[in-house]
Amino acid sequence: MDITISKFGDIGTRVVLVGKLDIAGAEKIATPLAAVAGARNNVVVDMVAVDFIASIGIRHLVMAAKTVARASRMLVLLDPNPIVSEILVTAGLADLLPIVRSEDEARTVLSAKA
Amino acid sequence: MDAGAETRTFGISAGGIGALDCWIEAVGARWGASARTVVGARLCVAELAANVLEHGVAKADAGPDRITVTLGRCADGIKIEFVDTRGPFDPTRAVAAAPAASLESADPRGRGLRLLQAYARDLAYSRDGTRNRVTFRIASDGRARRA
Repeated sequence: MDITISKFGDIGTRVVLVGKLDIAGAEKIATPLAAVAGARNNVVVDMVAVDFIASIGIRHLVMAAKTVARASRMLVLLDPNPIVSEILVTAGLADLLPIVRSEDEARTVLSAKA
Repeated sequence: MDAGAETRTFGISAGGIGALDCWIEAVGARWGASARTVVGARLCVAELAANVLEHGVAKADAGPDRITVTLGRCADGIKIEFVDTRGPFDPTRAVAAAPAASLESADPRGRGLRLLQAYARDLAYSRDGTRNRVTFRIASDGRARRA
């Protein structure tokens, strides 16, 4: 799992994840994702290149989303593939971690929250 | 399991579980299983293995601390046997956490069992005194059942 952090325009932070979000992947993203979540900013987690996710990875996304929400900001997941999307929905996250399908949609959702 | 089944043993550690995941992925690709079926198999095994790693109590009388997985092909998907040497845990009787009503009230933990019970068909458990044995099947379409 690789993680890259950059600005998402002027409305948030982009976190690009690449690879497997399994036990090893979750260990790798835990500290940087927690740091981003604690920065009191919107977060766009780019999931396009995540090819597998297990509950331990989901745990870190939920923890980050809760931290972001406490600062009245929002975390969205950008375009996970259909299999990863199904896992997220099956895990009961459909209403907790919004999935957006494009950067434009992310901007719209985050701007509405601002 | 049928004659073409494949079995491998792994240590109970993050590294061992990572190697286990890579092995399932490789076997699934070699068998020509669909991506959904392979991901379903990897997901269910990952959830069982993570539970063993995080919550399983090591038993001194169970021999070397390890996970043994057997994969077999069947008419409708992949059959899986998962055996571990930790303390008793029956995933067929454990109750998965209900979905949270809000992000504020959501518990970050507790989704592994929900995923296992959604993706695994014919989930069964037995204990032989020192080992947990979980068997299940991943359907050929690899899709989860509706929660």
